[in-house]
Amino acid sequence: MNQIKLIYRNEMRLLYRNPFLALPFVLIFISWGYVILSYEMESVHYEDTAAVFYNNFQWITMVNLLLVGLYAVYMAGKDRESEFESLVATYKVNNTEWIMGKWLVAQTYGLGFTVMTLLIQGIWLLGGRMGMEEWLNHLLYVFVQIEGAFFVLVSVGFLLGVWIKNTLSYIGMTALLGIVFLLQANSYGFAYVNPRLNLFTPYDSMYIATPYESIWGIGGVFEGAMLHQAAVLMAGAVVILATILLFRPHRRLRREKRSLVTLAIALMVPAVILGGIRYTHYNSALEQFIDMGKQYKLTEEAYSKNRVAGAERPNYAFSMDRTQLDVQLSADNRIKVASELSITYNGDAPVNDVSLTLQRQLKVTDCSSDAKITCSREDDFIRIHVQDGLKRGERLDLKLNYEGDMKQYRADGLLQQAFVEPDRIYLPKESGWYPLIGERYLAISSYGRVDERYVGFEVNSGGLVEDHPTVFAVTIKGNEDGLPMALTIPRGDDGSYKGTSQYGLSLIGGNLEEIAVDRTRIVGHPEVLDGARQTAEIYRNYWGYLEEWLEVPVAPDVIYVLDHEHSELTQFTPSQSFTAWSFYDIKYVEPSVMVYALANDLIPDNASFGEDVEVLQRAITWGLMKHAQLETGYKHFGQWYASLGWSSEVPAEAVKRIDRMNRYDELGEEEFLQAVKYVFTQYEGLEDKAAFNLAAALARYEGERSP
Amino acid sequence: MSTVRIDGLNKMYRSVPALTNIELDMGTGVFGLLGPNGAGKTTLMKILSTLLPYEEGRVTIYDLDLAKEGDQVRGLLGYLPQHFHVPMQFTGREFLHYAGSMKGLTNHKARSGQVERLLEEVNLLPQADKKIKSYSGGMIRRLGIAQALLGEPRFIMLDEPTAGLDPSERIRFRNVIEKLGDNHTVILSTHIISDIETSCGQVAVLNKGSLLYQGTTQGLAQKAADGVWEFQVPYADYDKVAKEFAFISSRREMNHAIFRVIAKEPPHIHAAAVQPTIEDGYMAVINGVLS
Repeated sequence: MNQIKLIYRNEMRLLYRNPFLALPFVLIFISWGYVILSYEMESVHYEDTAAVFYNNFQWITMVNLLLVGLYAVYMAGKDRESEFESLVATYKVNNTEWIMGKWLVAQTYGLGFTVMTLLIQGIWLLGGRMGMEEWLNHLLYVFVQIEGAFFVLVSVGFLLGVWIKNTLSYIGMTALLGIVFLLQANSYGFAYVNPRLNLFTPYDSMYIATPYESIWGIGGVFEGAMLHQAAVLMAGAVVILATILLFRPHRRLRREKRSLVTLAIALMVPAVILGGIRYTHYNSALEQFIDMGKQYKLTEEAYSKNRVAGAERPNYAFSMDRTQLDVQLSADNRIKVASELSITYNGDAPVNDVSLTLQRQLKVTDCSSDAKITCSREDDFIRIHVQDGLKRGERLDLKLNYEGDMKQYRADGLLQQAFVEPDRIYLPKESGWYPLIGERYLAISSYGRVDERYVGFEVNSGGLVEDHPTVFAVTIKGNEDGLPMALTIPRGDDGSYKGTSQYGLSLIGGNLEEIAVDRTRIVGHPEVLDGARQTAEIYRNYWGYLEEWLEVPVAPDVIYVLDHEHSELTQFTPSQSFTAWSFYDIKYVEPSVMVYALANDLIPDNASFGEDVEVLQRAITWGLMKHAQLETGYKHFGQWYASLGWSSEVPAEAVKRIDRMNRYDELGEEEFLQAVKYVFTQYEGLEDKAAFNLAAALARYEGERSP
Repeated sequence: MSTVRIDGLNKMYRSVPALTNIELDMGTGVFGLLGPNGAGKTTLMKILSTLLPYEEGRVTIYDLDLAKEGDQVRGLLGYLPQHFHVPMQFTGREFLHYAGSMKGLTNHKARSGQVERLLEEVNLLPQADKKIKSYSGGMIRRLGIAQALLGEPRFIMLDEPTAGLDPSERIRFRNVIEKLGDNHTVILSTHIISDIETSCGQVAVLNKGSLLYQGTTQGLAQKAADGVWEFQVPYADYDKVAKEFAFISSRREMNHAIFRVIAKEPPHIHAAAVQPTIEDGYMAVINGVLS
C-alpha cells in the first residue's frame, strides 16, 4: 500500500508537470463557459437550466470520455514505450503496486473532469428552481454517471495499453468509444440493433436523447443509472485486476496471482448480479413494449385509416356526460379508482350494449348500476349489456371501480408513457387511466409490417378525440407528500378538480407551477413559465383574432409544457382545449411558422379530406398572414397559392376554387375574411369532413349575400 | 564462493536460439561479459535481471532460484540497462527517490540517506535539483549508475555503464565499481576492453548465444599467447597488406605502418611475437583463429 502511495505521488508529480494534460480541462471549461453564457444571456428562458445542462452534458461527456480514455492508454503504455518500465521491472515493486499506482493517477485525472463538471453543474443549478433534494440527486447522478464511466474506461485503457503494445491501443480506445457512441445513437427509441446492447455503455444511456425530463427531472432514470453504474464499477474493478494479471506474467508473484484471481471472482459475482438486475429491469420494459406492439396491432386497413384519419371525431352514439373519479395513487405505479359515470345514448334505434375503453392493465373490481346490467371485458374494452335497453336520450349511470399498475412504455421501452411515483406522476389520457366512451384504440401499432427496426414496429398513441364534452369531478388521494400536480381541468379550493373538457384528463405531478394567460392555464417547470407566458402572449393575439374572425374557440383551456418526447406523444390527440408544448414550441415562435400551425390546428392536414379542405386551410393561413402583416411578395391569395411548391399538383377543379377564393381577396380583405368565415362554418358543421364542397359552400354564401 | 550459478541455460526467441546451454559460475567481484553485438549478452542480462523468462536451465542467485523466486532476486538486484530512459520531468533527486521507493526503500529517511550518498558518489549533487531533461548524456548515465546502486543491492548488473562518460567520470566510476567488487557480485557488460582490464577479475565471452570462455582476464589474454604478431611495412603498402591479413589493429609510425595480427604462424618475415592483451585474447576466442 505504501509503495502504491509512493508511485501515485511521483506519477502525479509528472502529471502536474505536463502542461499538455491541462489543455483538455481548458477546452472543457471553455465549452461549458460558452454553454452557460449563451443561456444566461437570454432575457427570457425557454428551457430550464438543468435541461440545457444535460443537453450539453451528453456531448461534453463523450469528449471527456475520449480524453480520459486516451490518457489511460497513454499512462499504461508510456513507460513501456520509453523503456523505463523495463528498468522498473527489475525493481522490487510488484506488478499490482506498479499498475495500481499509475491506474490511480489516471483515475485522478478523470476525477479532475468529474469535479470540474460537478462544480459547474452544482453552481449553475443552484440558480435553477429546484429543491435541495433534487439538486443533490442531480449532483449524485452526474457523479455516478461520469465517474463510473471514467472508472471502467481507465481500466479498459490500461488493459489496451498493456495488451496492445503500439498505437493500435489508442485506435482501440477510440474505436471502443465510437461503438459506445453508436450504441447511444441506437437508443433513441428506434433501435436498428437489439436495444439491450445499449446496456453495454460505460454510463447509463437508457433514455431517449436526454435523461432530463423537465418537470420530472431525472427521476425516470435515477435508480436505473445507480444500478447500471454499480455494475460498471464492479466491471471496471474486474478489468483492472485482469490487466494486472496480464502484465508481465512471468514477473507475477504466486500469492499476487491468487489474490487477484480471488478478488476478480469475488467482484464478478456482484457485477453479474447487479448487471443482471439492471438487464431484467430493462428487459421487462422492452418485453412489455413488444407485447404492447402485438396487442395494439391493427389490420392493414384499420391501421392505414387510423394513420390518415387519426384525429377525426369518432361519432359515437353515446356521450360521456359526467365522470366522477376518486383516485387513490400509490407509489409503485398503481392506482385504485372508484368512478361514477353518466352515459347518454344519442342514437335513434334502441340499443342494449354500450362499450367503454379502459387500459387492460387495470382490473375492474366493480361494474354496477341501478339499471340491470352485465359487464364483460375484452382487452381494453368493457362491454356493458343493458337488459332493458337504452332509447335515444336515455341515461345510464354506472359505477365502475378498478385498480392496477399503470406503468407503460414507448420507444423500445426507453420512454415511460405512464408512471406514478412519489416524486413524479404522469397519467396522460392516452394511457387509458380513466374510462373513455366507446371502443377506442389507446395505441396503434404497425406490428407485422415490414419494418427495419429491431422490434419491427412502431407504436403511436391513438387519436382519442371526443364528440362531446364531459363534466369531470376528480379527487386524488395518496399524494401526502404534496407533490405539485395538475389536471387538464382546474383545481378547486377544496383540492378536488372540477371542470368540463372535451379533451379529457391528463394528470401530471412533478416540479411544476401554474400561471394563466387570459383564460388559458399554463402548467410547466417553474423556470420555463416566463418563456411560456411570453409565447402565449404572442399566440393570444392570433387566438383572439381567429376567435373574432371565425367565431370558434381557439385559445386552449390548458397548456402543459413538457419535455419534447412526452409532448410529442400527445399530438395524436389534437384538441382545442388542451395543448402540450415543448421547448421547441415556446422558443421558436415565428409568425411565419405560427400561421401555418394555427391553421393546421383548426383544419388538420388530412389528405383524405380532399383538395377543398386544403384550399380552405390555406385560405385561413392567408388570412392569418395578412393579419400578421407578413411580407409574402404576393398581393392576392391566388398568386401566393400558386407560389407554393405543391400547387403544380393541384387538379384543375381545385384551381377553379382557388380562383373563386382569390376573387374575394381581390375585392378586399373584408370580403375575403367574410367568405372564408362562411365556408369554414359550413366545414365545421359537417360530421364527415371529406364531404366538404367548397364550390357548394361558396354558392350558398353567394346565395345568402344576394338580396 | 559461488553467488551466481547458471546451469544449462537455453533461451529461444520464437524458433531462433538466443542462448544455448550456458554454464556460468560467478562469485563476488566484478565479472566482465564480453561479446560482439548479437552475442546474447543483453539477453543474458535481461534473464538475470528477471526481465525475461527462459525455457530451460537453472539459474540461482545467492541461492535463490531465479525462475521461482524472481521477486526475492529483485530485492538483491541493481541493474543499469544499456538504454537507460527515465521520465525527464523529474529532477535527479526526485527520480532517485522514486526509484528507491520502488526498490523497497519506503522509509523516507533511510532513502534520503542513500540518495544523497549516491548523488555525491556519481558527482551529481550540484545538479540534483535540476530536471533530468537538462542533463547531458553522461549525467544521465551517472544517474543510471546511481539508481542501480540504490537499495544496496548485492547483485549488480551494468550494461555498457561507461558509454558516454568522459575520462574523469570513467575513472570515478571504476573506483566505485572496484569498491563494490569487494563484497558484491557485479556483472559488467561492455565493449570497452579497458573497463574490463581495470575492473574485472573474471570474464566471460559470448558469441552467437554460446559461451566461448569463462575465466580470469589474464587467462583470456593467454588465449592469444604465441599467436600475436606485429610487423612493420612501408606506409605506401598499407592497403596491400590490409587486404592480405586479418589484423587486430594498425598504427602509423613515421613512414611505416605497424600491423598487429593474430595468427598461428608468423604472418610476415619481419613479424615479431608480442605479449597478448585481453583484447587479443577476446579476438582470438571470437574469431577462433588459434583454435
